[in-house]
Amino acid sequence: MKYKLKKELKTVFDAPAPARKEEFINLLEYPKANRLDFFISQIGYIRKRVWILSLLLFIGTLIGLYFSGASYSFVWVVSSVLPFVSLVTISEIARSITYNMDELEMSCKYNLLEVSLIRIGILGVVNLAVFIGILLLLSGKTDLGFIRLGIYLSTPYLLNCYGSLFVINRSKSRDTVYICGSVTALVSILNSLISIRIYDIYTERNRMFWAIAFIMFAVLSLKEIVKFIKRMEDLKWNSSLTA
Amino acid sequence: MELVIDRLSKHYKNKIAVDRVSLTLKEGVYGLLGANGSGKTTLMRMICGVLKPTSGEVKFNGIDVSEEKFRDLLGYLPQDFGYYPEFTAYDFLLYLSSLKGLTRQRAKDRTSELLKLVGLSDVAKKKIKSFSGGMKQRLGIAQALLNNPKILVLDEPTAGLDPNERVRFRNLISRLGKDRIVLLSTHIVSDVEYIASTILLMKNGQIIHKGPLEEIIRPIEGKVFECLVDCNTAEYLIANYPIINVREEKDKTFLRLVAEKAPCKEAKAVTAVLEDLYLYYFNKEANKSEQLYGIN
Repeated sequence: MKYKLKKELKTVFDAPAPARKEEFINLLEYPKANRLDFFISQIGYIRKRVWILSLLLFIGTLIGLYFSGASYSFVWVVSSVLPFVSLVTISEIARSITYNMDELEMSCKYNLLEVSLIRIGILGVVNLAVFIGILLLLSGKTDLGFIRLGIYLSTPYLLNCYGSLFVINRSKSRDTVYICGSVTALVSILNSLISIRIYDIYTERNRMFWAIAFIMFAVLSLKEIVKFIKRMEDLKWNSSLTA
Repeated sequence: MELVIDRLSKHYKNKIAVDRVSLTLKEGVYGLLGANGSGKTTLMRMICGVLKPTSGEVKFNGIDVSEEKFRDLLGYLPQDFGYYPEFTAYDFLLYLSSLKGLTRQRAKDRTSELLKLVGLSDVAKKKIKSFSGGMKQRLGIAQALLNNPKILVLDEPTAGLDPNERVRFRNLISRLGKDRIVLLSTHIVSDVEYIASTILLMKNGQIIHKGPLEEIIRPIEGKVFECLVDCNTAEYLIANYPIINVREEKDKTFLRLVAEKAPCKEAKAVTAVLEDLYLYYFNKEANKSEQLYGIN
């Protein structure tokens, strides 16, 4: 009976419009995403080209090894391609500035600095995984040791990291990624030329040259990364932006 | 709810962009008016923690501007913002939701709500690069509201909006100002006049006037005159009084100007509006730019 009455009442009277609905909704505290959720969400925003290039390089190495075997010339080909992986990585890290999203991202709860650090972290791990994968594939096929091979492959990569970050940290232009592209091409060509011209570049004789170059570019790259992070902490605006 | 700005300054090498600004803002809409280069954007950037002040501090209910907690309560629309080229309007809002700490489900719900609110539901899946200036601006307004902010800072929010969109936006801001602090800057004086409960007039990095409309226009109340005069009188008046409006009418010239007392026998006192005050204060700048563009 009661149920019937309720039903009847509903058909006779219209329910009143909600009063102060918006104010009430504003009072509600919605659950917030934690740092882990934020980290995971950022993986999805890494552009496909980073994954594709990394995968292509890995597959390319596999195919190259299958058809031509591991030789010194194969080492310089791989080491000349690796700077392009670092270019894609760096352009990904610097894309907030490239696309003028920096100011918006700086004002968010998880701000530009955190976004940049997460990008550096994710892409660093991806690069390292690709690098170790290639190293493992090659080291078993050459008489070069694991460490020596690692140094030969990573030195041009580190040189490009340093060069590109040097440009990004000093340039105020939003087109720095094109300058970085030129730096990468230069590093790649230079590496190829050195490897072709100096026939004994990968021999024991040049061990010191490689060791010094590796340490120097690693330290310089690290310094530039620290500088980049500091720049994200306190982005310096030029006075033309103060209108 | 209190946003305290205490002796906030920003110095560049040879320029003082913001000079010891102190304000206490409570719930309501605050309209920041000033000419180009007066320091509005610099002030807003410092309030949002995007730009480090040379000195001074900004605190909301005791929370410093540099803290994550502060940013969690903030919604900001910069004067000029970009977007990642592959983003649709929907992606853009979802991305910023993740940066604002919204859960995936809440982000989806809020994105749909806000796209509807700003009239972009139909184009939610379209790339932003295909959007007009007004559509981009509406998207910018939507992103500022994603986290239901307690402090909403909008730098030139009505730029690029057509008159209908501006009216809709004004109504939205008026509603939002009931239970939060809304600070907006604009060149469009009427926007401020309609929606701001408090007007802040900024010049040379300082707040030179602050208060509700009635209070702020008091200095020129009874000092605004309109007249229709011949060419010679017009020339004399233009040279000697702050001019608000000039209009050529057949063989005469219509003038609206500010003067202590009637500047000529044809002059009639009229009710002062905010635009009169704005133009009165920024007359020098206006004249400078007129000279620059060869208007005089």
